[in-house]
Amino acid sequence: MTPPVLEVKDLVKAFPVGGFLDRLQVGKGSLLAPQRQLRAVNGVSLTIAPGEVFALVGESGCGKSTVAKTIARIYEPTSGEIRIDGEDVSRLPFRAMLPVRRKLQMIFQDPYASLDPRQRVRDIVMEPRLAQGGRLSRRELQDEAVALLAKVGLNAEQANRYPHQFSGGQRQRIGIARALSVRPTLIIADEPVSALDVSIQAQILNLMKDLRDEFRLSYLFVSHDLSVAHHIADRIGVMYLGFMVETASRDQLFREPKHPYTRVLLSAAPTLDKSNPGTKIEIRGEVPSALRLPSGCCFRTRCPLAFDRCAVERPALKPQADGSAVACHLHDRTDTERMIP
Amino acid sequence: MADPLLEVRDLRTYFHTFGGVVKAVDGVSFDVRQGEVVGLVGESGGGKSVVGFSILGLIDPPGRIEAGEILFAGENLAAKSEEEMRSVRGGEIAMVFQDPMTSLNPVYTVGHQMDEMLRLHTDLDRKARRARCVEMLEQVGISEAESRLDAYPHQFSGGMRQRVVIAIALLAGSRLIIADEPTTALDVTVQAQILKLMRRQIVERGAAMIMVTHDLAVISEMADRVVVLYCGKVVERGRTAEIINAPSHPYTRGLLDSIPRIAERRDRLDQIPGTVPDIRTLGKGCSFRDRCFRAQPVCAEKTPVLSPVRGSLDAACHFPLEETAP
Amino acid sequence: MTRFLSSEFFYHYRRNLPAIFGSALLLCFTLMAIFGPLLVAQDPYDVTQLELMDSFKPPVWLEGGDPRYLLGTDGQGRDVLASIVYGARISAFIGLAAMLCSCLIGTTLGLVAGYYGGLADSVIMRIADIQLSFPSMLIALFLMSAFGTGIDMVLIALTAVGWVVYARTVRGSTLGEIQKEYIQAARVAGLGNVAIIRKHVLPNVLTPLIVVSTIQVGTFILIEASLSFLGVGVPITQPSLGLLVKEGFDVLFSGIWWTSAFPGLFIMFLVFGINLFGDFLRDELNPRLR
Repeated sequence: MTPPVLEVKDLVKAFPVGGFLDRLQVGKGSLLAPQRQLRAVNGVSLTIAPGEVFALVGESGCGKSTVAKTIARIYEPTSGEIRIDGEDVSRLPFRAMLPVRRKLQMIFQDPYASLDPRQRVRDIVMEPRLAQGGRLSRRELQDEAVALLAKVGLNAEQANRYPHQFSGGQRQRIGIARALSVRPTLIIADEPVSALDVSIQAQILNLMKDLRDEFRLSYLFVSHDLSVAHHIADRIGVMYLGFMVETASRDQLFREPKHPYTRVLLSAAPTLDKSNPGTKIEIRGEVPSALRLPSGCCFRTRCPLAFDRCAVERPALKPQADGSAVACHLHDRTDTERMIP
Repeated sequence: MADPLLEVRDLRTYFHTFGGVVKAVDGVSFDVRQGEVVGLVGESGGGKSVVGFSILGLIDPPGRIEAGEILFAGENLAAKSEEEMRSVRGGEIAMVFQDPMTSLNPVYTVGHQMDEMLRLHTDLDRKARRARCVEMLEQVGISEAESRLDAYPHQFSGGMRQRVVIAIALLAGSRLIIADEPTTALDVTVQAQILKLMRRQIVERGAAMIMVTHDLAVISEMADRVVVLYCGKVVERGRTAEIINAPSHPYTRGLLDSIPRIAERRDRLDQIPGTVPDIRTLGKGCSFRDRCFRAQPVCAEKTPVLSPVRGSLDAACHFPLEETAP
Repeated sequence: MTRFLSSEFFYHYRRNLPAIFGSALLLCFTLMAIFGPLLVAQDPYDVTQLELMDSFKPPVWLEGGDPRYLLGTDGQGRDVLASIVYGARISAFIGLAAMLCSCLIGTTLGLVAGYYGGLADSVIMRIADIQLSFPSMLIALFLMSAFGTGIDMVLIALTAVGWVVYARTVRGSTLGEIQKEYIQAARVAGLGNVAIIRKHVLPNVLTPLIVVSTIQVGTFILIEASLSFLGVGVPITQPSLGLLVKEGFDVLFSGIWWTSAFPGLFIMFLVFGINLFGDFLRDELNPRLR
C-alpha cells in the first residue's frame, strides 16, 4: 500500500476567547478568571491516500473549515500530528514549512475575497511559485501564468487583467490556477463552490475532477452540501461540534449511515429526487456552544437515541467491520441487540 | 378556481446606473393563489429578489418601477403612495429576509416587537396580547416561550430569530409572505425545521407565500408552482412536479442537470457553458441563446414570448423541450 | 485622458458642484504658488526693492491706493499681494511636507498595530489615545516652546500631532483586510509577514489614506498658521500666511486692516477648497457611503 499523502492524528485546535481585561472578575476567589477556550476541533484524525478525494461535511461551526485551515497552517494547531508524505509538519517553524507548501496548496471559499484586488491575475496565480524562491524573467513569468490559466480554461489575454473584471466562477478558476502553480500533490478546498450559482458550481466541480485525473491530485474537500460531497468524494468524514462522528466510503455512508447525526443530516437535506420520500427524521434544538461542550457524546443533547452512557462517556471513533468508523456507543458492541432500528 | 390573491402583470423594474439602464425585471407576470407557495428561482442576476422588493414597494433610486401592475386582492400596489405602502408592509404582506436581523430591532425585546404588531392590528388588551405572543412562539417551535419573550434578538440563534420573524408575520395576520432566501444562511437540520413550519402555517391559515431562492431542491420540496427567471424575464413557469421532472425550457433543464444528485452517480455534471450575459447590453432575441444547446439563428432575431407548451408549463422558447427530452 | 473623462469618477465629479468649486480654488492657489513670483513685481524679502515711502498704502480701490500695490502695503512698504504669494508657498510646503512625514510614520505604525496586534497594538494605540485626549494645538505649542522654532521644528511638531490620524485609519483598514481570504492565501503560498504587509496589506489600505491626506494638508496649514500667529512658528525671515496675519494684527486697530485681513481670507479659502475636494474624494472612494 502506498503511504498516505496526508495523515492527521488527534488534531486539536482551541481559540482563546477574550483579552486580559475580559477575565477580571470580582468575588469569585481568584481575581482572574481562567482563559475561556473556543474548542473548535477536538481530536480529529483522518488519512488521505494519493489520488483520493476526502470530503469533510457538517454544519456551520462544526470545525470542518478549521481542520482544513489548521492543516494548511493558517492556524497553529493546539496539539496533534499533521503528517504530509510521512513527515510531521505540525510543529515546523515558518521557514521550514516552505518546501512543504510545494506539496500542499489551498482553494478558498469566497471568490471575491480570496484574490487581492490590487494584483494582476498573472501575479496572483504565480504567487506560490514565486514564494518558493528562484528568479523568473518577465517572459517566463508571463508564459507560466498563461499556461496555468489555460489549464483552468482561461485565456492568455486575461492574464493581465485585475480580479474585478471577472465573474465569480472565473475568479474561482483563478484561485485553482494559483493552487496548481507549484504542482502540489494535495489541495485543500474549503467550500470551493458554495458561493457560486448552480450552473457555475457544476463547471467548477467538473474542472476539479479533470485536474485531479490530470495531475493525480488528492483533495481534502470541505463542504456543507451533501450532494456536492457525494458527487466528488471517494470517502467522507462527518463532523459535529469539532468531533469526527463518522468516516466511511461514499457509497457506504449514503447507503447505510451509522451515526444518528449522519442519518439526520442525510434526511434533512432537501433533494430533487423523488425516490427519497419526505420521511424526515425529526431533530430537536440546535448545536450547543463550542465554549461549553456537553459531557460525554457531543450529539447527545439532540440525539433521539441517547441513553445514560452517552452523558457519561465520550465515544471514540471505532473502526467497523465494513471499513467505516463511527463514534457512537450504539455501535460499540459486536452484538446487534442495540443496533439502531 | 378562486381569484388569485396576487397578480403581477408585466412588471418592469429598471435601475438607471452610470453604466446604462439595468433591466433587472423586464416584463414579469405570474399570480399567487390562496394557500399556495410559489417559488421564484434563478441564479444571481436573474432578478428574483427585485420582484419581491417591487411588490413591497421597496425599490430605491436609482431603481424605479417603470411599468406593470401588482394587483393584490384587487388593488394595484404599484400605484400606491409610499405612505399607503407602509401600512401594507408588515400588515397584509410580510417579508422574511435571509438575514433575520434586518427585520428585527436589536434594541427591543422580542416580546415588545411582537406586542407592537398586535397593538397595531388587533384591539386585544395587554394580557390577551401576551398570551397570543406566547402561543405564537410555541407554534413556531420556540420552547420556554414565556421567558423568551423578554429576551433580545441577539440572544437568539440564527434559526430561532428566523422563527421569531415568521411568528411576527403570522401575528399580523399577513395574507402574503414574501420570503427571500429565508433558509440560505441556516444549517440543513434547522432549514428542514423552518421550511416545514412555514409550509404548515401557510396551508393552515389559507395565506400564501412567494419563496425567492436559488435552491431548486428547496423549491421542489416547498412550492406548488415555480417561476423560473433568467436575465429579468420569466423563461418558464408551471407546476413544481412537472418542471422538476420534465422541464420545457433549456435553461431550466440546464439548471436541474447541473445539480449533483445523490440517487444517481454521474461522473461529470452537465454544465451550462459560459456565464450570464451583461444585462445592460442585451439586445433583441433570447437572452439565453449563447449558452443554449438548441439555439438556432431565429433565437437571435426574435425574442421568444411566454406561451403554453404542455400541461401546466408555459415557456419562453422557440424550441421547447419535449416531455422525453433527448 | 479620454478614458478618464468617460470614467465613473469623472461622471460623479461633473455632477458635484462643491467638488468643482473646491478643486477650482485649489488649482488657482497651486498655480499662484508656482508661478506667482513671476507675476508680482516685487520680491517682498529683497530689501532693496522696498520703498519705505510706500508704507501702509491701502488697497487700490480705496482712497490713496496705489495701482502698483493691488492689496495695499504693510509698514515696510511690502506689497501685501506679493507677501501672500510668497507666504502661500511656505504654508503649502509646510502642509505638504508635514502630511508626507506623518503619513509615513502613521502608516507604518498603523500597519504594525493592525497586522501584529497584541502588545504592539496596545502600546501604539494607547499612545495615540493619550495624544488624542490633548488638543493638537496644545501639543504643538508645548513642543515648539520646548525645542525652539523654525520650519524644521514646525514640521516635527505637526508630524507628532498628525501621525495619529494615519495610524488609526490604517489600523482600522488593516484589521478589515487581514480577515480576508487573500491574506490567508498568501500565507499558504509561503509569504512571510513582511512580504504580506508590503505586497498585499499596504496597497489595499492606501485608498482611505488619499482622503485623509487631503484633509490633513488643510489641517496642517491651519495649525501652522495658528502657531505662527502665536509667535512660536516659522521665523520672521520665512513668513508663512499665519505670520503675515500676526504682523498685520499689530496695526489692525489703527485702521490698517488689509495687512492681516487678506492673508487671513486667503487661508480661509485655501482650507475651504481643500476640504470641499476632500469631502468629494471621501464620498467617491468610500464604497460604504455610496
